[in-house]
Amino acid sequence: MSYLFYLITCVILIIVQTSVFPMIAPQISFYDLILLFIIYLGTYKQLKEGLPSVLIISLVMDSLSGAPMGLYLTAYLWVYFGVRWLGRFLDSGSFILLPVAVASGVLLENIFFVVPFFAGETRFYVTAVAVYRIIVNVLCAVITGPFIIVVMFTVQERWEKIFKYFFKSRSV
Amino acid sequence: MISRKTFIIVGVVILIIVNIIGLSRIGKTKNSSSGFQRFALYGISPVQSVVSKSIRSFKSVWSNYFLLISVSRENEILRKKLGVVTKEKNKYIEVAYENERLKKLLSFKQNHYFSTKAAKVIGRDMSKWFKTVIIDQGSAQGIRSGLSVVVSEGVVGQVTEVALNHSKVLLIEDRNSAVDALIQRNRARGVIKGESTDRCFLDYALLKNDIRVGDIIISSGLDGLYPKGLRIGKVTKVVRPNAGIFQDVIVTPFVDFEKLEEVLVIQTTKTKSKM
Repeated sequence: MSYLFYLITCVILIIVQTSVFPMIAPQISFYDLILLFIIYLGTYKQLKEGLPSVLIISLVMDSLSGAPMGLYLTAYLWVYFGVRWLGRFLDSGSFILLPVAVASGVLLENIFFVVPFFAGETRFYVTAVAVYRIIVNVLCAVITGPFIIVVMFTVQERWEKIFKYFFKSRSV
Repeated sequence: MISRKTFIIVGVVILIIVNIIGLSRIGKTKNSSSGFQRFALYGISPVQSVVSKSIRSFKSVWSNYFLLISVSRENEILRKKLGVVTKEKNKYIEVAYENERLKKLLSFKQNHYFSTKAAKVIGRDMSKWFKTVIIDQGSAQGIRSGLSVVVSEGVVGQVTEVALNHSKVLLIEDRNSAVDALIQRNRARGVIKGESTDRCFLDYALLKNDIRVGDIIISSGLDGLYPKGLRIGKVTKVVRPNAGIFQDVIVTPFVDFEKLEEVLVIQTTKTKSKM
């Protein structure tokens, strides 16, 4: 049932990111919402449950995006393991964990996206746009990201309760 | 002797007459309030006032309640009607805009004699660092990788990946995109490169060429991807360095990539353009 939840969540996030946001506010450079899901998996879920999901999502994202194949896979895996590593120092219930994880995750992803392609860029305008986008992304993520992750956590808890109740009553 | 019965009748009649005369006289004289009257008024009128006010308020509440119910129902009906009308209006506005865009595309198609396939943009790249869009036409509709995509305003990009009913289009503003181009005025050559920002750059523009702000840039057709003569953008800034052989030319594309909704995929690479 967890995997079904992950699948539905991913589909919703991808649709929101690729079709809803560009139609409503095309100018806004919003951060990658799927990354929040990766951070959620890294923070609250076990490796055997989280890692396969991260791999599948990364491949889907690599296929949908115009990015070179494997870029999302690399970025997401780094973020996933980075967040798990961070969890060794900060308790999962700590209020500081999510903002720190989100900020560092978004920053890390942007570095993966930018550095290999914009390295050696001599045009100031391009560099300025890149820096501006990274700052806006990180700020947006720190403000909204933890809240979205908490919502994911709550929804999954309820989702699993509903299914447990449903299957229990069926078996009785 | 007068009987007792007759006496009573005459007595009652006289009493009635005296009463009537007395009443008529009292009616003609001025009213002067006595102490009792004042006391009665003082004691009763506040109660009367409260009761009558209460009754009036109750009546008012009662009538307003029913009035409100009917107004509320009417309001609800009107709101529903308004919603339907607004929806309809919005639909017509959308149709009108779509019609305008399609007319432009059609006139573009007629002017250029390309074999084209119209497609709708259904999704965009998740990351702002990469500029691609997904269109609703794929291999089943004859789309294949490498075909160029245009709108009436100018060049959009090229098809890079094709699925059965969908394709991915790499926009010219992406870092991985390059279009061989010409300055329309003096035929100076260069390569339009995207930078994943809102502008493009004309690379390899020789310093000896006279390039000015406002010059129109068109596709040269030499890359074998884009037909010759398609509009790409306008020169917005030229920086001529003191050393080197190339100048820095910033180009603003004619196409507003944020507002792309319908595009034309050019299916024949063989150009029959009038230009």
